[in-house]
Amino acid sequence: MIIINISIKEDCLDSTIIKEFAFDQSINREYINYLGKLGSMQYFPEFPKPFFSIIVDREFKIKGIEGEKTIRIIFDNKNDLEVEKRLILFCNRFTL
Amino acid sequence: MIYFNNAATSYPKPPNVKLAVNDYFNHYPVGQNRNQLGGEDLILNIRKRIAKFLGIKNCNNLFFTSGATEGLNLLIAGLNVEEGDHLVTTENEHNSVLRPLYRLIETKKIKLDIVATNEYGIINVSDIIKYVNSETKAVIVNHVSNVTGFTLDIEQLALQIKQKSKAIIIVDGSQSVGYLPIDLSRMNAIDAFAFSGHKSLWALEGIGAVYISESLINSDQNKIAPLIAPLKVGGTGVKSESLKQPTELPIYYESGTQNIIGIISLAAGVDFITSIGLEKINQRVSVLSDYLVDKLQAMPEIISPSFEIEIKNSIISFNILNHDPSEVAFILSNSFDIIVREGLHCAPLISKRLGFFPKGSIRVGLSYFNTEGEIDFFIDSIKKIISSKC
Ligand SMILES: Cc1ncc(COP(=O)(O)O)c(C=O)c1O
Repeated sequence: MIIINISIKEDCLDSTIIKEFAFDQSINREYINYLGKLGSMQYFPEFPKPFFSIIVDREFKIKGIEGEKTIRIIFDNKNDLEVEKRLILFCNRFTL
Repeated sequence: MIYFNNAATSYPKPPNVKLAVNDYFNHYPVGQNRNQLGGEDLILNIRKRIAKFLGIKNCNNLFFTSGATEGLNLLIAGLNVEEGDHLVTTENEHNSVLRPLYRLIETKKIKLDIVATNEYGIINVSDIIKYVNSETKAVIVNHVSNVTGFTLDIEQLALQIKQKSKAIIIVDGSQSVGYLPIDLSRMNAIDAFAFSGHKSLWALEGIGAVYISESLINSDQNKIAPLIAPLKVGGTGVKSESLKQPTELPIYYESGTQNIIGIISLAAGVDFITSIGLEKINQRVSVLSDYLVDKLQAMPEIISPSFEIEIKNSIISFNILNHDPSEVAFILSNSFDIIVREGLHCAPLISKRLGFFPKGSIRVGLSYFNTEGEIDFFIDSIKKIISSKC
């Protein structure tokens, strides 16, 4: 899985920022589990298209849908670019 | 896909709107005073039809704009006010009223009273009247709140204001036109009325209009001394030899090439409403709103001002206890294929008053085309989201 685009979805008034990562492939269950290693994961297979979220305390929250090619990340501190860099590396390191 | 975001912009558009828009491409361009194709000017014809729909006697008192935002900017920025002048508005307003007013505070140093609503977003005529005095220059109010759906009795308000002062009464009709009967010749104490085309009038985005009453325009044998200055000046297609803006109506307020396709779609949208009947549309949407409110009210996790007010249109906002509205909207859209709106709905003051700040609320905006089946699916989806404890 490779991130092919990163866009800002919302630059909030508080310190948070919401970004969208777009991948070259659809997100499957295996990849969701991989992302889940980052923090505390919730996964909802009972929804028509399964929803997942992963919270890494004081850093970010990931939201996504199984089968889609994008995830949304709410970064707690928009100025901490290190956190984003580490997340990008982590996302790109997985091979299906 | 289930579309419940009609208070932002309506979808789907009626078939005749699609046809009219498509048909636009089959004809030579037309435009007010800019061609010699003969016959009655298309825009004049449409202006007459829309004026009739709103009970406006003289169609030259109706001006096309790009939407309610432009209309409200025209009315508020164009007000003839000076330092210290007193204006009144309410917490129910959209930013298209609040921001132009705040600009007047900054640029002209006006004094602004913002009348509070109660905790459910309800505001009484008497609450507003208390703030109006003989010195008040203008009162600007939202007819139907785009957050709660609350309807203000604008006719009563305007009548009572006129008894107390000479204040200009400006109404934002973005969420009422197309649902509630508007007869501006009967509601003649209202001086100006701005609205959007792309919501319940079924038009394309980028079109709206504003009505300015005779009393503000002061027409005198084609010579007008307008009390509201135009927002833009420029090409009008007539009197091109003059470097001054022509004062004839409607071109005084309509410089530049018109959004013809938008205007055509607006006419088709109004035709659709007349063909079905405004009352029938209102009844149908009220049935749907009541159906949804009843179901939401049966769920203890739902908090909504709509449980306390009489909804006469299609707007219902709510929150789910311990759920972030943006997350709920994300799940509804991406997992369940249901489009709602979340956030502050460009109305920060009322969102604060309702306790929906800073995250806002989830807003359902129903339309004539929605069904009970869609509402059932929506309620099931909300129940799933609640029971999943996500
Ligand atoms: C109450 C109210 N006023 C004004 C507006 C702005 O309308 P427009 O999109 O036509 O500029 C809206 C639309 O969101 C609204 O709901």
